[in-house]
Amino acid sequence: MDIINPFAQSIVTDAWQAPQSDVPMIHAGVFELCCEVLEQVRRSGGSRSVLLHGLPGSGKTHLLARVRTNLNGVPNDMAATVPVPLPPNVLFIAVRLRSGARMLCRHLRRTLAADLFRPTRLGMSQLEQLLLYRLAQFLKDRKKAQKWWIDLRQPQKPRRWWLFGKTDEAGRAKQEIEAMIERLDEQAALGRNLSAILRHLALGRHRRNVRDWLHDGVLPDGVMRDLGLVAAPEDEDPEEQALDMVCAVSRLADSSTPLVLCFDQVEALQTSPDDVEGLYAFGRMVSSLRDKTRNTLLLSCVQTAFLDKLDEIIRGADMDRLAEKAGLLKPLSVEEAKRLIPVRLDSAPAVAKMRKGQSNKLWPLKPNRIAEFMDGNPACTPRQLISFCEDEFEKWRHGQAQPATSLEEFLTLQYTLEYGQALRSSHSHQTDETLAHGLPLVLALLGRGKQVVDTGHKYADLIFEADAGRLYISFCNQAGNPLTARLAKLREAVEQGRIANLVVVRDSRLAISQHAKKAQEHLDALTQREVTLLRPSAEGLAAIEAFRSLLSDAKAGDLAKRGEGIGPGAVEEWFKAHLPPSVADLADGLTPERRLIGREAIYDELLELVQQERIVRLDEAAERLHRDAETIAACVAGHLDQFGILQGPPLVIFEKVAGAESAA
Amino acid sequence: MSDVSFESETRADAASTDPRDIETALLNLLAEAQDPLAASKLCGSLRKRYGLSTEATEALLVNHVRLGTVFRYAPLRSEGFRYWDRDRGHYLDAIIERELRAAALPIHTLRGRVARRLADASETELRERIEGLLRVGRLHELPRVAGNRVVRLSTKPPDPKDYISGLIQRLVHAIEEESLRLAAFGVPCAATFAAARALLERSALYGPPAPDGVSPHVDSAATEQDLEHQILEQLRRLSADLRHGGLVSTRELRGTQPRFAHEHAAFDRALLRLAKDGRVWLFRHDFPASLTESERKAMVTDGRGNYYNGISFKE
Repeated sequence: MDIINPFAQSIVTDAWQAPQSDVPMIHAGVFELCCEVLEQVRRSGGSRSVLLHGLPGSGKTHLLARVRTNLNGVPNDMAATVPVPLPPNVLFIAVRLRSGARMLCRHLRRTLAADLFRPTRLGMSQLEQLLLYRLAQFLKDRKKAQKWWIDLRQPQKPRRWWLFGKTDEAGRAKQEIEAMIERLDEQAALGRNLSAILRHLALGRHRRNVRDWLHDGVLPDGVMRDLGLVAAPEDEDPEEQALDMVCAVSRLADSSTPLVLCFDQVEALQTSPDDVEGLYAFGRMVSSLRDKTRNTLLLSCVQTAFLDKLDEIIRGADMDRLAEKAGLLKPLSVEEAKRLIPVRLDSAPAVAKMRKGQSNKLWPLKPNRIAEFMDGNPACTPRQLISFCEDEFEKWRHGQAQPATSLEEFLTLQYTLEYGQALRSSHSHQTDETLAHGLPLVLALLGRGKQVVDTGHKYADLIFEADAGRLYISFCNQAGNPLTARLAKLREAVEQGRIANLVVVRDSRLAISQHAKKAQEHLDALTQREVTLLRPSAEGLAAIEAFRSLLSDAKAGDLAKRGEGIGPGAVEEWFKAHLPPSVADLADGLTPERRLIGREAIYDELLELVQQERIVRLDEAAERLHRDAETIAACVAGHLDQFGILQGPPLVIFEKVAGAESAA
Repeated sequence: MSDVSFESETRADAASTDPRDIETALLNLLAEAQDPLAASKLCGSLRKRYGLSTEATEALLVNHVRLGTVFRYAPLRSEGFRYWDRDRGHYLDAIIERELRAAALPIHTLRGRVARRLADASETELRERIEGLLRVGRLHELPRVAGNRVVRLSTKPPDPKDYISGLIQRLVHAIEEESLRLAAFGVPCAATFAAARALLERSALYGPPAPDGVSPHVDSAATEQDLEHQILEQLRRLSADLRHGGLVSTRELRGTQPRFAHEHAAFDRALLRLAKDGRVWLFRHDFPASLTESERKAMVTDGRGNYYNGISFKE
């Protein structure tokens, strides 16, 4: 029988990850505190905030996972059925704070959108279960809502002239639901767009678009029109919009279903030791959420060593709200250690079977070795104990502990895993977020520029103080009218001399459509004024994503090798020594002497064509784009990260999907 | 600021309206005052007894200024002219001595303090008064403290303790640090301290050596116990508000008592002992290298590269 080391996993990376084992006695006091405060939120109709802190490895994320499991339960595998309308116990949202300061609320919105579609223990998504319940509240017979919900999701049957009854029923259900959404909007002030989105969700339509809109608040112009959505006013701060959206969801939930917002890895908000903007913005956001909502429990996790920094940087009034209640995760007592080890051992079925009938509760581990370890580590954390037990288990199984890997090997492995994951899940809608948080980290590491705060430039997403002066970076990854509007604003600012040294960044996977004549005109005008157009590749973005992920883990104490934390300094050094060429190219593209100015129109045209057709013959592409075949071939050769070519005859071009090779 | 109490001095003259009595009361008030007083202030206590207006009081004072029995001083803030029965030189001396009695001060600080009471005192005037007071031994120029180029003045002669306490503190601190380093190699701290005492006692600082087994120092075990007791008391007080869930920053704890700051290494040792005895949890900082020297110094260290920034009761 293959025996798995039950102590191999010592880090819970996400509150949504099911804990391998749980000992309720450990941190019971802090868990109770969270439950008590949640009850206060339910009863009093006011939001509350709890700050959880402890040593690295003390189990902060594990505790959040316990809170989640306790409140939401484990999703039911028999998930296909629609249950009788019941409110979800809570709406649980777990946010890892890997974000730039100026995109914090948008990061929260995106996480909220993703987590709202996670299943509850009844199998439906959190949002759908809540919506079904809220609609059912308007009906005397709640089961009717359940029936409508099911009926509207049935595939439409061919209409038969003698069966009028069914069709009428579906039509009436649709009308009733639309009327109920109207009433819900009146009650909870959801706003036009959110009401429209919920209407589509209730009617079982446009589920993908619903998710995308909740995620970013932006959809292609045509889709926005089809869904009856209106674009947000240009002058409205996107951070405010994102915060308003979160507040609107909390109003939809009302006090029967508190919104539990967990903020993990607060430390990652600080891009450098002297950076204050991220933490300051976090304090403001938590404070606003606490004041603007009436049913939210805010749980924030930090390392104890970071408390002084929080106190120092976050505004006093905001800190009072953030740390309204505090829970300290203390080190393990001997008694707790004695409980933890058997539970862990029994979590591996093969080991549990072998342990049956053993008088030593810690078998196959030696009690005296555990006692020695606890004596020598008076402030031992669960992670340290688990790591020690991992070695002890290996000694029992193989006669010796696993050979220690070097820091270099460990970081190489971790980076490779993160990079693979980032490449596979990479999507252009994450580009802004990746760059907003990751680019300041990379440029600071390479000594190419330090991020500065200047709220006077609305369309500059990042500003750096570099040797050659201030560098302004604007993310232009939108489509349709929002892209045109943004480029127009940038053009105006450049022509009026309000911004110099500007770099416009657009993901290389996003073509600028041939039909977007105005956007092209603005972009050409900008590039004529020495504005750089930078097109980061999917590989470069994935590398930055992997780096920021590793660094965030290190800052939050979540990167450990054999129970010992690895500091952010070690990660930075490693990354600098192994700088991927795609990241070096991206950073070089920002330095004045290496910048490429001008737009490559043929690239966008070809990309748009290939994205439409998926696969196209080279000669056909040349014909449709009114170019000669050599020009097309040269473009393909210059962008082999984006295009693939099948040698013919005939030569065939296709779009390369980043991560496809590694996934294969 | 030394305003006089106006209650008792006019009691004898309560019923009198004789102008001579009024003048006597006025001069008595000035004699009692430690600083020149404005007419409005003097009038405040005389009005009740004699029904004297501010203008009438000022007229009386001006008359005495003319006679040379009262001296007029420039206004302070917006109270009008001030009056006193002693001259300007006398007043300057009084201010200088009063300020320096409270603490030894460099000349530039003293100048600022004088200007608060006597805004129009010139540099030359002040220097002359200081030299006069130094000559007669009412003031003393203190030797410069090592590393500080500023000369300080005081009403007291130099105290050797002020000059060597820092040295002793540094020496004690260095010995305590060394004791922690040696402790890691199995040498008990008590043995290191005993060796330090023995070496000191053999130095020229001491007269004939003390007989064996007799130490001129207080019992160190009792001192340690006392320190631990004080620490636990302060920890209990600070953790009562549960601001951080019962966690107290070691920096905050150290700041609660001057003793904790002065006996830096002893404080660290006491906390480490309390943790070892299982009475408190000490929270180790994971990456002390990321901190500044002053941030590290505010934490508790075991001398082996571990720094602790938080403490809480175990139960």
